[in-house]
Amino acid sequence: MTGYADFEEFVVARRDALLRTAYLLTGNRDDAEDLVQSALIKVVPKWSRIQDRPEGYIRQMLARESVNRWRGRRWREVPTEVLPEPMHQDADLADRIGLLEDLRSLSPRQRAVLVLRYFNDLTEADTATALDISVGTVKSHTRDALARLRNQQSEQEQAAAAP
Amino acid sequence: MDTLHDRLAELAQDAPRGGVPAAELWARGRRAHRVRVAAVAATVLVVSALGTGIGVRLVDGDGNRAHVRPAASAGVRLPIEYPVGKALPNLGETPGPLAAVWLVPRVGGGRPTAVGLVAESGRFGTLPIVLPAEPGDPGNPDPLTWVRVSLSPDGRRIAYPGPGAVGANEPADVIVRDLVTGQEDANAIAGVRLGVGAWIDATHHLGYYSKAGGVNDANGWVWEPGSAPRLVQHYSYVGAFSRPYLGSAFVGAPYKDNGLEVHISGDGPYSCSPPTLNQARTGSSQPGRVAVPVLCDVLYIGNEFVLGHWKDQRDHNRTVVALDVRHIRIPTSDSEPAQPDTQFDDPALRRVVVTAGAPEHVSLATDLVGDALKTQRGAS
Repeated sequence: MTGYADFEEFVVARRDALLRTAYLLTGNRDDAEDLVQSALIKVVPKWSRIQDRPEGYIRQMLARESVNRWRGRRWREVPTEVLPEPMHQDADLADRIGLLEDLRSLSPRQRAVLVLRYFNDLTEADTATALDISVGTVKSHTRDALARLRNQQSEQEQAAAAP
Repeated sequence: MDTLHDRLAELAQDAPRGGVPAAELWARGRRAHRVRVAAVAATVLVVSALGTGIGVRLVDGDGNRAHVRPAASAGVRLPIEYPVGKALPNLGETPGPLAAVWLVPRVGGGRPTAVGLVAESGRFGTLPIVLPAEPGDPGNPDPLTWVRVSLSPDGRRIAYPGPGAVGANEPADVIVRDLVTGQEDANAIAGVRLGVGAWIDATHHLGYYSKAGGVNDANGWVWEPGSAPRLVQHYSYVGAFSRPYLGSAFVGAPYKDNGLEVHISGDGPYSCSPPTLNQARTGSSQPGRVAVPVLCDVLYIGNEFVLGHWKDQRDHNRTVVALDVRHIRIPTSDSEPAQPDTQFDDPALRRVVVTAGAPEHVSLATDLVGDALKTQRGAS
């Protein structure tokens, strides 16, 4: 199989980037690893056909799989009997946690649209192709998702400002 | 204020990094694909069989149905016994997939003969390949110290050192022959001496190579059909495969386990030659060793079959190439009768049976044999 060397080179060079996309899509490190690993295994039989554009193809797989696999449920939440102790948080950490919470409130498809558009910098047309939806749907999901994030941020700021 | 892109990028820094080696992903993808292809083929076969049955029934009536042969190789049954001393036919260039290959050393030294068992027909015969010569040793009943023929798990390909090879670490090249098409590839890497290898799946033939400084356990090479052989880091590459491969990590490393001593004298999984019949655990308990469920001439096939080979100490004309050792205990002396050994019934307690004697260095098509035996729903 002559494609293995290319595959190995791609995995070494681009897996971490795929993991970052998958992490934003799933909101969970384990799910991100699982998602990327599954996608990489699935592309092996097709490698000779996609090796000139593997990243776009795999990113598309990640996005679609994240919507399908996690459709109907929120991001994985781990129940615990003991509440964690509140600890000092710096502003960056607080922002990341806040953003994570905000993303959690979105539907899987809204989240996928947001990640592809604003993290992977795909155009509306490319995002529509990746998710197999219309450009109009991409626009409406983007609009709704951004509005929701703005509202939540506003609520958080008000809560933080309250005495 | 940061853009949403910046915030997402910052959040993405919490993502995990790295993961399973690329070789393992590749192997899993290949395996999954093969399973899917096999499932589709099986479905087609079932549909075809049903269609054929219905068609025959319509034409000939119920009493004259066509017999549909099972897909598995009908010739593989256990035990496989070698007809010692009988003249064997030449199997020709394209015998088809083999269930087993082993070597018959020539008395007084010289080039050994490779004998194969054709999976489809169950026929024995010699293979028209020229192996390197080894000097004879009148005092040693096993004069073959390094010449090997390894058979791929699907039985389709054999690999062996070229006839010009003169030693374990000095093969001139490695020849791989496709037993279905007859195509032969002589594999070599300029400036590198390829050592004898073994198949770790149907399409990966792996071995060691030596450089000026000698053989290093990390110096591996791998060959896949349709490509040139290439050098790899042996352990990291092997670690990606589920099929165990011992390689020379065990060369000349006698070890004791549970009071039983095992001597491993060769450089592959087909070369265990303990001085006496023994049972031994796998090497998993050894510090620093790769956990392997298989050693030497004994092969686990899935979770169902364990094959070994042995020579009947009381009847030297009877040589068993492969047998199911789940329910028997091979006698450790001439006077001891074979008796049940329930250890093999519990996978967690399975032991490896290491036997001395001919046939030499049997290589079994594990996947092919396993599929055939499963189809037969049992063995022995």
